[in-house]
Amino acid sequence: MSLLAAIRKLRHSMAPRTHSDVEEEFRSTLDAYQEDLVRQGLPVEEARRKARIDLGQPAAQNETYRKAIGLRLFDELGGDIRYGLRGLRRNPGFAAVAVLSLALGIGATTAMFSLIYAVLLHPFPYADADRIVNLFGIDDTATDAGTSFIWTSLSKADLDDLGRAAPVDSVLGFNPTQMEITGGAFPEEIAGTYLTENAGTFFGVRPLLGRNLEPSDAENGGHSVVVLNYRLWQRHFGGDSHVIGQTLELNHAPYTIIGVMPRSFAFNDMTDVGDVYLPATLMQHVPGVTVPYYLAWIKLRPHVTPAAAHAVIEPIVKRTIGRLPDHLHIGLQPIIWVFRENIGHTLTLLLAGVVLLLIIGCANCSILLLARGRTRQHELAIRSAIGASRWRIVRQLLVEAIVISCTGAVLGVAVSYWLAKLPMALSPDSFPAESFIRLPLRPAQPAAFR
Amino acid sequence: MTKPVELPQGTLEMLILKAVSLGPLHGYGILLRIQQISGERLEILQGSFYTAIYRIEHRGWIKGEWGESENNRRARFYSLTATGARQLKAETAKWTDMTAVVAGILDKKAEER
Repeated sequence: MSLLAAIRKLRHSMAPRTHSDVEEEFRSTLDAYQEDLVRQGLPVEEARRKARIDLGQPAAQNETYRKAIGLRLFDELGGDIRYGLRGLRRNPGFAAVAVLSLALGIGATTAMFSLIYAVLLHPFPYADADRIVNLFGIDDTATDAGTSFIWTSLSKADLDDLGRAAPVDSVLGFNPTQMEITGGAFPEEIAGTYLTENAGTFFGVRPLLGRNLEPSDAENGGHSVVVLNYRLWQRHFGGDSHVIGQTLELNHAPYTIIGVMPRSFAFNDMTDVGDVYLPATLMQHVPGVTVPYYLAWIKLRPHVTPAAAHAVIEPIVKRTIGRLPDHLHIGLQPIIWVFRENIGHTLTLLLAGVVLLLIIGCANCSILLLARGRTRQHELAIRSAIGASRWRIVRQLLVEAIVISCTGAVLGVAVSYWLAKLPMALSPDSFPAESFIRLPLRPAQPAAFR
Repeated sequence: MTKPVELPQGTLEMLILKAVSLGPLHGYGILLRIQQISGERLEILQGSFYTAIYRIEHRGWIKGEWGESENNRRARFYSLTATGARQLKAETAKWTDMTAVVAGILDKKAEER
């Protein structure tokens, strides 16, 4: 509350005395002066008049006071704003049309921008998400974009090789698989994802509860631990906050729950969003798996161009998986790429549409103001005749315009709160599961609090 | 009767500080005291007088408190604050310096003409 206190202090230092206080003091001075004049021999009425001529009217004194301590500008602006609001109330039709056309434009644009921000600019909660790339084999002969990408499976040794390459910051290996929650009345099929044990540092996302996987989880052939996805935690455990340390039976083997990820963490969209995350070292013990294989997310070092990274990474991958057929080549793609490709154009088009709407709203509003200006010429002429300066009149009109646009903006932002959720509701699958669309009021939040 | 003197800009505030430094006074009392000390030679514009009081009160150089005047009227008495005392000292020194320099120059001219 220190801000409030500061405001109060500022307010106090700006207007320390009340209207009646100033007026009372002035009256007492006026009376004393008047008495002196009477004592000097003036008739009472005369003295009263002379005192007021010499010292001024008590009613006007507060204005003198506020002017002396530098509040005149505030008072005048306050008057302008009040007058502007009164003018709008007198003319509700005009006000409604102007405010609504602005609110619509601002609301739609804000909503659209929120969407683009959430989906295209900032969809992932991961640390340095803009530097994370997918490793794909790209099939040049495929006609459909959806089938041209082939996930490239790598061994643990390959991952280590990639991790040592100069342009690479770190590599995450993962393996999505189906498993069952057993031990209950019915087995429940879920998506499990094995993650290399550097997952905690690679993602840099603070778990909602407990901890993420750590390198020590790989010791002694892998600890039987599991990190829960937010959805599974809600669905299976009802959001129980004491879940850490409990045992979850998966495929008839017990696992200790060590962490719960926040809602925004939904690794990953392209294969299957995992319900549980397990240490990858455990894959050795899975029956039927001889050599565990991994899909890879590669986090590049800062300022490494994709071309430079590609030049280093392709030979490594080719060396390990042998000769590729001629129609296949290795590609690195930012993880955002898929969404940008699928809905980026639609969103850009929509944004252009709503910006146009905003421009129309603005034009609409200015034409209305112009038309109103003509009908107000009479009023303005009178004001300038009784002494208002040109600047004063311009300021008055500006303040009125600002009153209209602020009202429009407030309404617009309120409307966009709901508008922003609309596309997500209409077409939930087109967006990354992680992107939680909201007004981007705060540019960066700790991931755990989303 | 001696000739009235017009005050240069900003000096009224200094005079108010000086008047109040001799003891708490209400607004009208300050006016009377300045006129009395100056031998009725200062014609203070009434409008600017209260403006000056308000301004230096707002700056915290003087502080006003309600009290009872000599003829049992409620009046606001102003007294000098610590900041005000410092300000008065500084302003007085500045004024003395300035007038000495200006007077010195003017005198010299008269001698060497």
